[in-house]
Amino acid sequence: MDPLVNPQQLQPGQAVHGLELRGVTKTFGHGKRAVAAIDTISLNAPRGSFTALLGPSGCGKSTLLRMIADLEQPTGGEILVNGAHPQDLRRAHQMGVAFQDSALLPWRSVESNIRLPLQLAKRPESNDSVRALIDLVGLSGFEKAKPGQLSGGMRQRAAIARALILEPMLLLLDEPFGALDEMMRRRLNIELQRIWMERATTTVLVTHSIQEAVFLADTVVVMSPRPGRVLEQFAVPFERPRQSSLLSAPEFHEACDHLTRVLFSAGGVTDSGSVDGGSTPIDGADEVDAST
Amino acid sequence: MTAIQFVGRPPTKFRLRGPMISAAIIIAIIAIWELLAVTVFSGRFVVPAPYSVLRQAHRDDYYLSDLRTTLGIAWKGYLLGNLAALVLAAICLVAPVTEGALTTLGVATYCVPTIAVGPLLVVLYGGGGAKMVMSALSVFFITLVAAITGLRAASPTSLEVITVFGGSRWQQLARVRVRASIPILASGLCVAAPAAILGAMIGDYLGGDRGLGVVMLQAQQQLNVPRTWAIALVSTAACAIAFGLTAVLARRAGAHVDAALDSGLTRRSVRRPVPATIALTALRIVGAVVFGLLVWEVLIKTTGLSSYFVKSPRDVWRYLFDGPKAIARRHVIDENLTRTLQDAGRGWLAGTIVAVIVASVLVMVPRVGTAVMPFVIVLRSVPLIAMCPLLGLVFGRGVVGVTIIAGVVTFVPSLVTIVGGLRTAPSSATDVIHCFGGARFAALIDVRIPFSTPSLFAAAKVSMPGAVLGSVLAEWLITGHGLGHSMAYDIITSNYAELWTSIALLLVVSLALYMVVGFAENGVRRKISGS
Repeated sequence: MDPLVNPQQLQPGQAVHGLELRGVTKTFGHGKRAVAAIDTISLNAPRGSFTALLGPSGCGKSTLLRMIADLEQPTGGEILVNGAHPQDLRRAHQMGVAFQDSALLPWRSVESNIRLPLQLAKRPESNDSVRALIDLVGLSGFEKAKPGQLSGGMRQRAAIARALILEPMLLLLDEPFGALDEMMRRRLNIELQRIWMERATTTVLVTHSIQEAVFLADTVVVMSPRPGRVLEQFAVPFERPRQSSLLSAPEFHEACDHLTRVLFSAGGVTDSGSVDGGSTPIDGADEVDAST
Repeated sequence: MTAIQFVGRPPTKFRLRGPMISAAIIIAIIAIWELLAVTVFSGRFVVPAPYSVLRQAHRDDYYLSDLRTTLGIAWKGYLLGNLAALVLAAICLVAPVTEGALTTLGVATYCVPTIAVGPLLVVLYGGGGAKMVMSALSVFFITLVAAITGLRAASPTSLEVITVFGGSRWQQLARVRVRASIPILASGLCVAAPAAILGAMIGDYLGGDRGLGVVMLQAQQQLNVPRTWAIALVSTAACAIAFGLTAVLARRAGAHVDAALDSGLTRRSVRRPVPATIALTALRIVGAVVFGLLVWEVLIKTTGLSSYFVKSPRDVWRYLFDGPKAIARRHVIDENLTRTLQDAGRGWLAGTIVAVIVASVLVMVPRVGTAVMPFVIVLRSVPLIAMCPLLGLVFGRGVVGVTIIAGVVTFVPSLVTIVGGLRTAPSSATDVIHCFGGARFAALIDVRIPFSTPSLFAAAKVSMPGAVLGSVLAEWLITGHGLGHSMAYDIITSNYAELWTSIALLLVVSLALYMVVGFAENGVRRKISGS
């Protein structure tokens, strides 16, 4: 199957354009209390691409992801997935999601948790696809285990399998390995790449780990906080499949260093508590533009 | 234990939206009341229009002096009950071994039908004293639960910090536990304040010549409908003010009151092998029975009352199983108990079903939930059981009347607990359902309701004895059948052996319900927590 072209999921005459954000803004509150969380973000993630949203906490990357997931509505602008509103995508059961908290239902087994989206979509529950996915995420032998009996890493694997079971057009990952230790995180990143390469689903990953973003993504979108803005869209030059040896390669470090500079020059990584809310633009933003 | 936060979704557009919706709801309630009074209930003389209630209240100017009498009893009961509860909680903390026995005692005070022990308290302490003790009894369990839960509420890490820095258990208590217990304890004290008034009013139903309960019962017996309503409104207002005032004081003292205590005590569950659990449970039940009998005997010995009034466990046993009349006695009591349990069960079932449905709506439509929840909390502080005469007047002396009384007593506390339970589902789990294209209803069925099952059991644990008490009171005051009625009759005919037997049976049944449902709750909780 070529995941890039699936004629059934496309309206006739429509371009293959993946995820598109046009001037998206998000303000919380009203009047004087209004706080701009996201300030006019425009992005384009082609179909089948892997995009990482990178930034310090409070930069609105999770809010952005929640808007793409139709969990929150933008105050302004438009979000389109293959030309359709995220709500339509969601209602057509074409979206997959995994959060930092695995959000597995504790009374269901691994297998049954992975089946849940199929039940919601009222699709036939094919045992083969469930088993294949459990295999893919490396949980064979734990089909009947309850989430409480699994380690944190295994729970996240199950959550990712659940996110993929509908063969979604859009996969949203909100720091899925954020609560895991560094070693487990690296291992799962390599596996996530392998899983992703088998399906090549349009994917958006929210992370605050520079290495994770560079290792996984085709494009790293660097964001600055208060209000959330795009500082830079960085195209990652490395070939796939990326091996773990890449993590120690000088060009990998160069890329990471570059992104670190972008992040720090925006003042976003300093004590963010001192930068108070409101809609005042951050002074450093211009310097960053100059440097890129 | 459930902590309810009244924030469904913060108002985004106007800050005044919440109060405006509340005001709209109040106006709508009055309008519907007026409308019902002149349409459906017109000519049936049970639901007077708001206007005629106000006119009646204006004409009768004696409510305030009755209110003063009731409050004069209630505040003493409040102090007494709270003091006893705090002392017991302190003992539990100092000597954790006693916790099982002492909490069982607390549950027993909650399960005992206060109206039935009332006459005995009158003999012991006189009219005023009895009402005070009944008021204290209504307070005791609420504060005990709050105090014990509060003292356990400290986070393990904050306790470990004290230990690591070389602090003792005592310092853990002084520096962490006491401070951490304040929010829950304050919530308990708030809920206990209207409960004290409720206890005093139930005391009033035993007799006396002053007090809100006395005049309300008189008004009901005279079929003076507007007056019954007016007194009900006055007592409701008194309870709401008592709740609000305590909450304001607590906030002044630095405790933000946001929890509604309705779910009783939940034992910390410890994982043990099944045979050990069964053995321990059996041991605990035997211990509770032995302890209960001991307390009973001690009470008899210390009060020094004649055996004419006070019957020992042995007397009850003889009454039920000794002599040629025993079979006939058992038959009568069995019939009455069955009737009472049917009344209570029907009401409980109806109240619980309605509570689940309403709670689901409140949680699924957050905007409605945010607007309605404050009213539910006010309703929670209304002395519902004390509204028995009014409900009897409106819904009649038949099955419907009793069912509604037991149902209403079940509904309100269950609603608060179940809403809290439905909100315990982690937001990520409902978000996942949302993203996979599931409807809100799917999130309710697949995530929220399973996550809330422990709270369903917690609600049942507390509302079942409540429903029993409600139906006993309804039978006592209104319907004229069942165990409630036979106990009232026992007092008139001085049949104290039967009275004691009835109380003991009711206590055993209520306690058993509380314990069985409590065990089920623990089982479900363990399953949900996934360990």
